[in-house]
Amino acid sequence: MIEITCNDRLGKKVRIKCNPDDTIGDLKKLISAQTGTRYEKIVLKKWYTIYKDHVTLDDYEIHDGMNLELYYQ
Amino acid sequence: MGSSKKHKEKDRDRDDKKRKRKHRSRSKSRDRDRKRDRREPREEEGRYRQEPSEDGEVEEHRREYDRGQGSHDTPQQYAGRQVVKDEPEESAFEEKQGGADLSLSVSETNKLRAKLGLKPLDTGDDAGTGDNDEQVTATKKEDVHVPAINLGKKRKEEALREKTAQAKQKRLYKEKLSKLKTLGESDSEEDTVSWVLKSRRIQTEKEEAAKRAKLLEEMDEEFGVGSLIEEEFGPTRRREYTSRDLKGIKVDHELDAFKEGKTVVLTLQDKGILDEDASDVLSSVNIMDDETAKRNLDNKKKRPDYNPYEGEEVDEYGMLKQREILGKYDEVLDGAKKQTFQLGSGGKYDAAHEKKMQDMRAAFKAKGETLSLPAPVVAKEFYSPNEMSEKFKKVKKKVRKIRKKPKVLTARDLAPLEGEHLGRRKGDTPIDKDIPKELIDKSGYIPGLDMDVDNHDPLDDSECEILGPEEDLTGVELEEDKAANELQMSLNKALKIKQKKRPDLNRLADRIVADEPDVDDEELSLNIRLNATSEFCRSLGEIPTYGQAGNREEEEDDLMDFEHELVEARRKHEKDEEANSGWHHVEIDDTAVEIKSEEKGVLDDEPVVNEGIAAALQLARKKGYLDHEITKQGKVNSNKHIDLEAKNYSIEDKSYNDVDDKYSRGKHSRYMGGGGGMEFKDKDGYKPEIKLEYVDDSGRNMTPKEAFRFLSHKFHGKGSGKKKTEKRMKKVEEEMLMKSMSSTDTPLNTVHLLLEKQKTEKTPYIVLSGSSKGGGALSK
Repeated sequence: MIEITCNDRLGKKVRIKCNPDDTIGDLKKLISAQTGTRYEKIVLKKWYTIYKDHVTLDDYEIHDGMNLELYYQ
Repeated sequence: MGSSKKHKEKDRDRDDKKRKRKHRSRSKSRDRDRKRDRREPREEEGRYRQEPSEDGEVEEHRREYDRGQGSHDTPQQYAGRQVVKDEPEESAFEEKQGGADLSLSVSETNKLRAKLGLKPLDTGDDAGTGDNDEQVTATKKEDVHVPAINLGKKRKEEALREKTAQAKQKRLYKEKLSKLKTLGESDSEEDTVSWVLKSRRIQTEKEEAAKRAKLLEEMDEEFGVGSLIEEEFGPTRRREYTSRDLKGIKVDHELDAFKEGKTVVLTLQDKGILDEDASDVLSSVNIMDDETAKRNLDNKKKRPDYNPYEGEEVDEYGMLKQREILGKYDEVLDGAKKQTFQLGSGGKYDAAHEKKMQDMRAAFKAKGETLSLPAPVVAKEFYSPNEMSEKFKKVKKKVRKIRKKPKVLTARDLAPLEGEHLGRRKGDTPIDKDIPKELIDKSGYIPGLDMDVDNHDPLDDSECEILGPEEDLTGVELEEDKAANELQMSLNKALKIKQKKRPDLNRLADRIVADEPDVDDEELSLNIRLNATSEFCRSLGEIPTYGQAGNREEEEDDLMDFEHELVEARRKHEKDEEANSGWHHVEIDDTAVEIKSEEKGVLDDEPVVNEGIAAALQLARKKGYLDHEITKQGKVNSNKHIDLEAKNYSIEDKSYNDVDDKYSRGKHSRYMGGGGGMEFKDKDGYKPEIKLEYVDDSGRNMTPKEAFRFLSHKFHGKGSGKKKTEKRMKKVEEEMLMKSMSSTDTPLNTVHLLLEKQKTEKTPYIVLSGSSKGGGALSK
């Protein structure tokens, strides 16, 4: 289990517990469950890379305690 | 890394020290810690913050652990520990973080995940134990630290390995040698008694063996097997070392070292006792010496190794040889390569194979074409003898038939033999004989014969001058000595005439004396005038040498000889006539008037002008009427011929312009600068004569140099100095004087003065100095 922090710098900051083998899509769903935004509208970014839904966290090398940028489209 | 013990010990020491130090300044460090906590909520540290940190000791430990783990622990262990630590403080953690972040507990998340259709979180709860977790992480391909190669260790290992190998080898040798007895051992083992016993025993054994053998032999003979056995074992018993045994033995030399028809003694090469695999090698000491000598020689004349322009080497099959990197050291490292060959059966070696290979190689080479051009040779002007014989075949000389011409007398035949008299051939000319002795006077002179040929030295001037100075006449062909004949004839004629004349003249003289002259006289005189000899002489006179060698005198003499009397007679006759007619004959005094050379003045005489223009010009120059200037020849010519030049001639009529000529425009535009309109046309025949003349203040013409000086002074507003001007003025004056003076006098009229003085004093001399001593009188 790893814990990831997602922050849109507009007042929403969520910590999410997930498995490393979850996909980004799963993560988005978890985020939407916590924040209340629809998961299709969520964009996860780190710097300029937009994470794609079908790739797992492990493959993106997202580890425990990492910060992801939360955007909406 | 921490693999070595030393490192670990050091670390421990350092830790101890730190701990001690920390104890001393604990309060301070704690303060710092707190400050840091407040300042930055780092995730990892935040987690540690949850720990009960009342005791400074614990915290210290943790930090040390933190620091140390980088070096001591693998990441896996670290991860495990983290997880373990995390578990108990879950709830507290969440409470604290709740404010800022939204986060769910594990159970809540699991519920949510179940709703979303995801598998539950695999936390420690689910997995059960930490070992399991570790297994999970291990299965996942996390980075595994591969320790770097420890060079020191490696070296040590290698050394150890070598040592063991050596020991092993030593052991092997020892084992091998343990079976042998050393020389000393075998001796020392036995004392004399035992040795005697032993030898005796051996002897008895031998005897017994011999007996047994004899017995057996007898038995064999009895059964007739002996011959059979002999056949079987004969060769083995008679075994000798023959050339057959040489099969497979290596010879340590090249095949080329052995020449046919030469015996070479080969010896077995030394080899190490302990070498196991060593086979016998044959070598010859002499050949080896030769090889070393050759190698030394090669080393001596070795060129520098570096040769960038070396061509590729080609091996025996014509393929390119691959050059090895730093091949020059191969010999040093591996030792010189030696060519060897192995003897075949019967100790022979068949070189046929080798020969075949060589032939193949040669064929291969012959096939290839070389791209290299023949080396350039400096061209020579001359062929070498070899080239000559190659290039030019000798043409067989045709034997030409020489047509023999009838021999013609050539000048070469006339060339004087040694000791012979050059010139007239005395023998074959009949001159001497024909001329009567009385005609030849003492000096050897033949009157009437202008050419005193005979008694003269052949190299005499006159002769030489007639023939030309020592002309070589070998090239001249004489036609039957025509000239000589002609001469001969003419001479004869002259002689005849003379002989006829002599008595005539005598008679004539008598007759003249006796009575009046008659018409015959006149005729005779006329006759004499037409004398052949004189005619001949006249013709000779045309030769430039006439008159030089006394020809003219001869004639005069000739005339005098027989005409003087005639002339005399005529005069007398005339006188008589005059006396009769009453006319007076005025005799012209023919005696030479002696012209005394007049005394010359100090200076030259006034040149006489009536001799010609040259003289007049000379006078003019002397007097200074004419400027003595040498103008350049070309200039003079150009001035001279101005009048001769055509007045209305121009090379090109420039006004001519053909409209149809398409090139004309281009040509004109090209050469005339392309300007349109009419060209400026020079006036025909207008040749202005420009003459720049400068005149100075006194009206004298100035030379260009002077003119320039004058102009320059004017321009600069500054003339030359007083002295210079005076000098110049003086020069000009002198010049003027020179021009105005008499040519026979000095500019100061000294001669005139001198003459006057002489006149007054009436002495042929003048006294130059009237000093007190009154000495120096100069007579003139």
